[in-house]
Amino acid sequence: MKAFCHREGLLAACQLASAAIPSRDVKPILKNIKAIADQGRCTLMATDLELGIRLDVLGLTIQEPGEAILPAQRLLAILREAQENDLNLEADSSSCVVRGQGMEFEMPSDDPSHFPDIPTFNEDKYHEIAGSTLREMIRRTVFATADESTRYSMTGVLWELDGDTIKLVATDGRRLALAQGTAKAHGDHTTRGQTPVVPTKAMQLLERNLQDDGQTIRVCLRPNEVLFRTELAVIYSRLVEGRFPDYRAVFPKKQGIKVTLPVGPFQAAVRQAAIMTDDDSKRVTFSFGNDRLTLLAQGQTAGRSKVEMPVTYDGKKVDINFNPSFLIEMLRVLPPDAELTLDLIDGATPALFRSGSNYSYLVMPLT
Amino acid sequence: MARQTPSLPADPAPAEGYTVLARRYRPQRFAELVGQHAVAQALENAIKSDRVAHAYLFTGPRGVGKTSTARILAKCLNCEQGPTIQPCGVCASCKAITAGEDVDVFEMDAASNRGIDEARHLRSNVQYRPSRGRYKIYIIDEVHMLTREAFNALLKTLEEPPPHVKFILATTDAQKVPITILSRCQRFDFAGLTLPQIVGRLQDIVASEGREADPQALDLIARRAGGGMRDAQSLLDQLLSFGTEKLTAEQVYTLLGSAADDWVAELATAILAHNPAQALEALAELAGRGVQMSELVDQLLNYWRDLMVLNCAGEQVSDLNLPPHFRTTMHQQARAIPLDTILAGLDLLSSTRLRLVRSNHGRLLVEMALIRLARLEDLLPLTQLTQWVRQSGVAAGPPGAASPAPPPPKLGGLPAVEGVKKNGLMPPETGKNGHATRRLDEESLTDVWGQVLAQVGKFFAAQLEKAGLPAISRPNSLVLRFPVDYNQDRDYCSAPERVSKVEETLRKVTGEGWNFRVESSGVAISPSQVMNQPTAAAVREAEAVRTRRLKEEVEKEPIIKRAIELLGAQIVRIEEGFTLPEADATKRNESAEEA
Amino acid sequence: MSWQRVRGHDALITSFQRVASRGRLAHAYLFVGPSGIGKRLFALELAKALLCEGQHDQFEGCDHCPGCALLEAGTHPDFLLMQKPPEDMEFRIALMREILDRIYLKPARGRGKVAILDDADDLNDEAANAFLKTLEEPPPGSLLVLLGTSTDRQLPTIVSRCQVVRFAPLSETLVDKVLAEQGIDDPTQRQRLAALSEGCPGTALALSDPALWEFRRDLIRCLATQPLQGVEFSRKWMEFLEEAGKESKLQRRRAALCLQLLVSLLQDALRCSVGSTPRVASAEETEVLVAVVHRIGTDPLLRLIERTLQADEQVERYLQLVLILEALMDALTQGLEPAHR
Repeated sequence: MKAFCHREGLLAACQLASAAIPSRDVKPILKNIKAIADQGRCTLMATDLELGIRLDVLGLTIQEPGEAILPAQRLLAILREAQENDLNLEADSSSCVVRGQGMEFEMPSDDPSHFPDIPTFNEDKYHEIAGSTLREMIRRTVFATADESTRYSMTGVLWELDGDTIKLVATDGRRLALAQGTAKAHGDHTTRGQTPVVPTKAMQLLERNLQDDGQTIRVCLRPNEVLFRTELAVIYSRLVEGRFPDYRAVFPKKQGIKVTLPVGPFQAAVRQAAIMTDDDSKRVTFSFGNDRLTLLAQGQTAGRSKVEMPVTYDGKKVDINFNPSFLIEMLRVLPPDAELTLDLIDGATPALFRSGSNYSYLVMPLT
Repeated sequence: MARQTPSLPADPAPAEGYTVLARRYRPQRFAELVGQHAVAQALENAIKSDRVAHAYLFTGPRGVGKTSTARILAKCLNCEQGPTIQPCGVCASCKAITAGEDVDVFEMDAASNRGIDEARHLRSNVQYRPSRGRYKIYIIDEVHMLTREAFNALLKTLEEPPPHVKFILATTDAQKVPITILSRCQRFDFAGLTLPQIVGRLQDIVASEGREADPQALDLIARRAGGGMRDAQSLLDQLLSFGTEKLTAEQVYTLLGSAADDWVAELATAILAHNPAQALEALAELAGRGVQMSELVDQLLNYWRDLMVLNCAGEQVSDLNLPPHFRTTMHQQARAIPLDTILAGLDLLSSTRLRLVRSNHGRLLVEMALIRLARLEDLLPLTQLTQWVRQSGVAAGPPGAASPAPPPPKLGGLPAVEGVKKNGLMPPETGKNGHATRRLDEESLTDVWGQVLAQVGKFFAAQLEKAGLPAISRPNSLVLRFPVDYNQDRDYCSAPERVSKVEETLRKVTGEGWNFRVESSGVAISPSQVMNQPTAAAVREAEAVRTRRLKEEVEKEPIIKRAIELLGAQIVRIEEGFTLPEADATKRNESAEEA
Repeated sequence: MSWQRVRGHDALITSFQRVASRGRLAHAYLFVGPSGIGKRLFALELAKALLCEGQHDQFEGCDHCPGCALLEAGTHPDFLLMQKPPEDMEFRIALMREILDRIYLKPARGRGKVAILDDADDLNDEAANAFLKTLEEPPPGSLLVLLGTSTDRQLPTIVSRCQVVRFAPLSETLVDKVLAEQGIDDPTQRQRLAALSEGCPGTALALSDPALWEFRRDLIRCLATQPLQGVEFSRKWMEFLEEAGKESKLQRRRAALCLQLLVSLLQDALRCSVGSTPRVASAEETEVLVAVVHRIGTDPLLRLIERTLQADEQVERYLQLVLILEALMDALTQGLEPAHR
């Protein structure tokens, strides 16, 4: 293939693509970017065999169509260091040459047919969501996925897309985050009957690629993979095997006492109380009663803490124990001036925290 | 509930692709367990009377149903229709547990979760209430492999069990579970499954799969499984997958890489006939057919074990490894060799089998073992062992030549343990003389003559010594030449009965027949020559020194050293041509005192 | 078509095709057999057969479709071949996690997944145990293939979760053919290599290095000399090893091959001593061996073989090569002296 490129356009595209390049030891070809130049367009692809990115290069004129493997690391370096704005790119299965005013670089290349392609987004069935909404939803859920691989189905985020609702659920068996939002369905796209789980890594990549600029993104969930189309790129990821736990069954059936907690002060209180917890037994007792919430912690070696904060509470006295990290992680992703509603039943039932109508967070109590 | 034949689990519709037999036929209810009626009964009673313990410990060999039972119990406890002794199998909980994917049932293999992180994980997670079910159930397999920290974490929870938690611990090695844990669990011992039990279930499965199998094939499979159902089913699965419509014993052999029984018998016969060359040929043939060395050695071990049993218990003994039509031949073979030799063969095969595990030279090890086995002479007493120890390597003679009669003592590298175990008692006569024999040639002349002199009597020896050393005039012909001045002694020594005595002693010492004659050298002897001849006294002194040294050497021999250390063995007698003449009681007392 | 690359295991190929046509492909296999016999190649072709995207009914790879191409290149997203890195002594859990992480993703090309775990002998306990649950019940459509030398060297809990497939040695004729294809032109040499390798083409090729055979000639010459010039030979031997390269790994590999040659000579001597025929040694070499046998007899020969096997173990355990060789040559010198009191 042969093409005229704008340095900045190519640089931006390569940088974006290389987010999918694996850092671990892999076959050399996967450390590189595949380029397909065809019909006036140049597409770049990178993958680590689990997820991938595919995007078009802007400001590029194709002189000769074709496919080639571009050595990512070196090419990025060239694009960063070169001063020229216009570059000439020529590549085939044995070498890749970059030419500009007063400079010429040649690098060995590879056979493009050895590169596993990333599918394009040609879907007519998908959901469309506002980028900012999705980004917020991911932020509020992805921290709750399981990081240990004892139960693989929880090492990602569950997606539910049906009609005009989108739900993201993440859990590690001890706490569960559920975020909801609005979406627009196209062509009967739905996840009903399936439980697609997108790996944490892919969720994080997606989050990084979403801007707050009013753009929408398209999501298509297929039996084995998910495709996201943002303004600039298509992000592809394989789904996780296994059955995601039935999260609905986990929510308590009955209503409890409702307590309103302001996020900022509550977070501060929890953080304070948590100072006196050990790594071994991270536990803080939340004592509700008499218009007051008392947080108590007693570490085995650290000492003890007692923090109080006023709340409107006139129900019976309830003591419930939580791992403070689970609360802090959740509180961190909410705006400090927001309000949480805590649905409290007793010290033995999971506690449900809600923020607005779009976010629920369930935490299992410790005994 | 009356004891019933366990029913076959209904074959659930397979997921995409093929699911192995072991998974499809895994018992899903108590009634489907094989061979664990007592346990099933006890658990059912516990459930019915709402007396399910906080913690159970299932012990027993691999593949007998511990994990299956644990899962069944979990289903019973958490079934939406429960707690019940008949879990419904269709509710979300039952299905999830069956698939091994339930949120509230944690299956852990302690061998893979030993670290301190897992210990902390265990302790902190146990506090969370179950997400969906009635109970949070921990099934910990191979629990004896937990690290100390993990054990302590477990212990704390077992001491103050949260009401919503049940532990089901399983282990193949109850000995290694600390008493602190044992005492807090209700223990159930799972029996190893019997051959008929396993064969029975295999038959049911074969029928359910719409196939046929030779009973012998199923028998072979069950034997291989060693009492574990999962291994048996796995093997059956493979055979049904790879094999033809009807499963035959032949297919089982091929899959396992073992040799057909006929071949094993042929190999064994060659070995027992002391024919290493033929044994090697048979081995080459088998190796070419893909027989695995470890398998073959296992089969030889079985054969030798059968020989041992036949030797001790006679032809009518019941459980032999080989099919009945080999019995007569094997019995004959077993009778023809001493038990000790069979045992030595077993030792050799066992150690070879152990070495095969880590070796890259399997074929070579087996060849060496076959050669050693084929050369294993009937077991010799300790005396010959020590003689062998002192000699380092006697030439075997040219390859392929007829073996010299009789061959020098060889033990193929193994010490004769029996001589020591019996605390120095004489092992039974082996048909040859009971002494270690020594070949008489130029090199050994002095030694051998010394021994002869020590056995023919003091006075006679003194006379013989005056002639100095005899000479080997011809093969098996010894001549003693007296110098001119010693005619009187010469006459004395050449008396027929004395010549016979010497010849007899020679036979005893060398194991061969030798001719002895006395002659006159026709020359006078010089004083210096006299000086240089070994005197009787010197020879005897040498003998005593040798006895002492021999005893020291014998005591140093590792087997004997251990016998002395461990069993308090005492060297009572060292027979070896050191037997002093009957008349010489003092010398005997001396050596007895030394012992 | 693509099964053709696999030599000498036709019965197994037929078996697997039968298995596939019955829809009874298991999810976990343990391939055992001596190294160099073709297990990995077989496993790769099995993966190809499973993941092939070509339009045909047979259970085999077509070598034309993109799936087969990616597999050959090692970049098929649904295929993973994991080997122990040569500088490591064990197959560690980090590698195992990679396998598990990948196996728990849905198939990218929709035909299932294959993971081949080579060097299964070297799995340390931690890695092996982390694998157990997955081995027992892997995600649907997965195939796990472990490659090892014998079932003895695996944890019983691993063996019980796999179907064991035993690879038999190739016939000497077939090894001969393979060697001819690999450019070994001398028929006598091919026969000797075939006999030496005991049916493993990989081993035969490794032993085909002409430098090794020169070493073997020197070795025989050394054995024929009485008394043995042990010290001098061990020095020459060490030089020969150093020629293999500066890295210890290369020297050790050559040492192992040399020892294999020595063992084979002693093995042939042993055969002579019991009236059997030698398998590798030529007629004149046999004369030397027979002379040795005359001199010392069967039992000392057995001891010398044991001593040489010991040296082989020492090489594996990373003892100092110089010391191993010196000690071995010393033992040989003593052991080959004529039998004496």
